[in-house]
Parts: sequence; C-alpha cells; structure tokens
Amino acid sequence: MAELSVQLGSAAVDAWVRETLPRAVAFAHSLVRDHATAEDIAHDCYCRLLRRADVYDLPTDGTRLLYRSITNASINRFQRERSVLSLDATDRDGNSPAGSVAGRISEPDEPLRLRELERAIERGMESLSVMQRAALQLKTLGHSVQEIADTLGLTTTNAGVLVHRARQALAVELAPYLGERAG
Amino acid sequence: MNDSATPLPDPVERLLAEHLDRQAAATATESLRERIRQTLAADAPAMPARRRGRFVRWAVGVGAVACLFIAALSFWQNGQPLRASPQALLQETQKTFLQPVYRSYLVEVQRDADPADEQIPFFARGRQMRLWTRGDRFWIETTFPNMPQRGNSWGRDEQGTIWMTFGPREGVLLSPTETPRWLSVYSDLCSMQPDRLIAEVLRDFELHREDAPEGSPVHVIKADLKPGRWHPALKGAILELDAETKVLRRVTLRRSAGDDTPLTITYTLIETKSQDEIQYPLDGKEGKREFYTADYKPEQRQKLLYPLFGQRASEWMKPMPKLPLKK
Repeated sequence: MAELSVQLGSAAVDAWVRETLPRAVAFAHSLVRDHATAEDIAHDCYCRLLRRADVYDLPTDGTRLLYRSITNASINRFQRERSVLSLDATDRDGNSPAGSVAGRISEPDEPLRLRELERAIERGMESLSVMQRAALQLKTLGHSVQEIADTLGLTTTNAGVLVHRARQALAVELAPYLGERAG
Repeated sequence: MNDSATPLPDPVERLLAEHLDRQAAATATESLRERIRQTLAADAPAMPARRRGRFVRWAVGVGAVACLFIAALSFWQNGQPLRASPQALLQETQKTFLQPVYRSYLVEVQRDADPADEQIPFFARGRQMRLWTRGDRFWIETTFPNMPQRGNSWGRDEQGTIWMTFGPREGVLLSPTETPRWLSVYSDLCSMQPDRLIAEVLRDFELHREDAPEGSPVHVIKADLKPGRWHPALKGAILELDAETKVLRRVTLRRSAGDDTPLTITYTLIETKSQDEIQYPLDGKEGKREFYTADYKPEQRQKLLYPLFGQRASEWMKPMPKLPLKK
C-alpha cells in the first residue's frame, strides 16, 4: 500500500486512510446495516476526499469531513432504496443485521455478557430511524449538536431532539447494562 | 473525535462508542484500501489537469452545472420521466423470481477453439441447449454427443448433486463428494440461476444503463466488476429486461473457464410455462426412471458416463479398490 501514498504524494494521508478506514466502514455499516453497501459508501467518500487531498488537510480535518460525507451518502442511499433495504434483510454473508456482530464475536472464550450486549445494541440501533442512528453515532464520535445539525440539514433544536430521542430509545434496550456501567 | 477526546459522559454513548470500536476492530479493510487505490490509479491521467488552476475548475464546474440545469429543464418541459437506476430495475426483476412459472432460455456458448473440452457434454459446441429455471431450480435440456437418439437433460439440485437423464428410463447421480472440480466448474459456467446472478451483480458490480435499440421494449444494463472486487467466474454481464414486466429477456455473461479462457454465454428467453404445464425432471419420476449412483448399479452409471467424458472419465471414475474382508 505504499502505492497509495505515492499516488497521493503523502505518507501522512496514507496513514490517515489506514487508521480511519475500519472505523469509517463500521460507522457506515451502523447506518445502512449492510456490509457491501457500507464498503461502497466508504469507498466513494474516501475517493471524493482523496481526489481533493491538495485542497484539504486530511490528517487534520479529514475525519470530520469523512463522517459528514458518509452520513449524507448513507441517508441518501437509505432513502433511495428504502423499499428494498429492509432491516430484516440479510447481508452479503447471509446474516441478519442483528446477528452480524454477534456472529463475528463467537469465540468460545468471549464473554457471553459481551455477546448479549452486542445483540442488544444491534436491536436498539435497528429500532431507530436512519436519521436517529446518524445523529447519535455522530454525537458518539464527538460531533457537537451544531455540527450534527449542519450535517443532517436540521436546526440545532431538531438535531438535539433527534439525539435525545435516539439515546432514550437505546437506553431502554440497554437498561440491563447501564446499571453496571453507572456503578 | 471520540478516540482522542475525553471519555463520553453519557453511559449510552459510551457503550455505543465501545461497540463501534469493536466493530472497527473486526472489520478487514485491506481489500477496500486496494479498491480505493485502484479507483484513484484509474483517475491518475486526469490529475495534471486539476493542477492547472482553480479558475479552470471553477469554469468547468459552472459549465457543468449550467448544462445540467438546461438538461433538467428540457427534461421537465418535455414531460418525460426520469430514468430509473439500474439497481432499482434489477430489484424489480428480483420480484419476478417469486412467480410460480418456469422460464426457458436458449443457451449459446462462444469460446476460442479448445478441442480438449469437446468431450464435455455440457459444452458440446453446435448443439442446442435450453435452460429451464424457476427460483433456485434449474435444468438444461440438450442432446449429449454420441447419443443423438436420446432426450438428455442435466441439472444440479440444492444439495449440489449433479444429475443427468438419458431418455425416459435412465439417469445418473453424482454426489458433490465424487464430482471432480472441472465438472463442477463447467456446470457452474453453463448454468444460470437468475436469482443468484442478480444478487451477485447488485453486490459486486458497477451498473450502467445502456441505450436500448430504437423502438425496443427493453432496458439494457451493463455490469462490470467493481474495482478491487473479484468473482470466481463472472467478469461482466449485459442484462436486458422487459421494460414492462422487468423479466430477464436476454443475459450475456462474460465468464472465464478454469484455465482463464474467455467465454461468452448468452441466454435468450424463449418460453414461459406454468407449473402445471411442465414438470421438474426429478419430480414424479420415482418408479419410471432408474437413477444409477456410486452404490446402485455403478457399472451401469459408468457405461453411460464413459462415452460422454472420455479420457477424463477414465481418470476420474476409477473402480474402487476391493478391500480384503476381515476374518
């Protein structure tokens, strides 16, 4: 992959891609609930940003731009394909979204509690709208409510409401796990 | 961002952030990085143009926006509908697979001369092949070489067992464990399961609408592998859908045989029949047709298969060594 840095003329940019890509794909997957679609979205967003690597300071500003770009692309994709992108649909591996992470964390020595937590998070995220998912994930990633509002094209108040309701809905699903964390 | 910022105060957000961390850790991205690299490499010739200056970019951008605006306005004024995306069309096609009908396609194979494969009955050149398909079922009607007087058909069931029929009374079964790889590859290449094909095309291929011939009631979609994606046997496809019903009318697949020989296979829809009009060859045949297997009349099976597979069959279907009986 030295080639990527050669193409972009910057080892820093290559390192940035290497560092951010797994989380970016996971983020896109959390929004669209399909691995192949998440990869496609991440691919398109990285290419768009990298083509403008001479304009942006990617190692500094790139991550924020990237998440904004992925969010918008995911919402667009979700809205365009709403009729077929069912939450009950199977992904490319034939797993249901709810089982995708639980399926990966299947080592015998993996704590059962963690698997249950993963399933609960998946269930909770599925119960949210794509806008709620995006708002809460962006908040989790450190974006301010103002930035979330800008990204989602909402007023600050609406973005705040979206985050609050998403958090509340997820809290219901995660109630058994919140007690132990609070302690 | 979160990974560098102070810990999140809200417990829900903290659990979600940790969940995302675990997902990221479980996500393999090497192939995606390669795909990004290939896409950017394909852009490379355009790069010097970008450096000519912001003015040029600005001018081109304004020009493009103006053109789009004019095109959109013209479209709107003419009252013509916008074209559906190829993905949306293929998703409509997927719904047609749920219909309880069998569709028959004429199969044509084009490949460079390869006499070694003349002995593969599935590929017998110059012979007409007809594919019947419904859901995940398919079979091919053909005439095997050296047996022109018999009606032959072959297919593969859901368990991967290859079956062949020889006239109305005889057939053979090859279980997946005894099917040689070359035979499995050839049966993959020659058959087509539309449901699986469309799912794979939607997942791994870039799709583009092509212009259909003037007055033709079809939508044409060209599929090319996405950069960085790999498919074991399919390199590209052209799909023609009926504009009204979205049924696949013609499918051209660019495939590659095991030896990387390019192969073009065309399937043309010729007939649709209801379930009452045609029967899956393995249904309702008990008692009428004998199927020979490795355990049931294996010598009869060999007798039928040797003329078809020639030397390959002799190498593959060696008689089982007889083990000495325990005393």
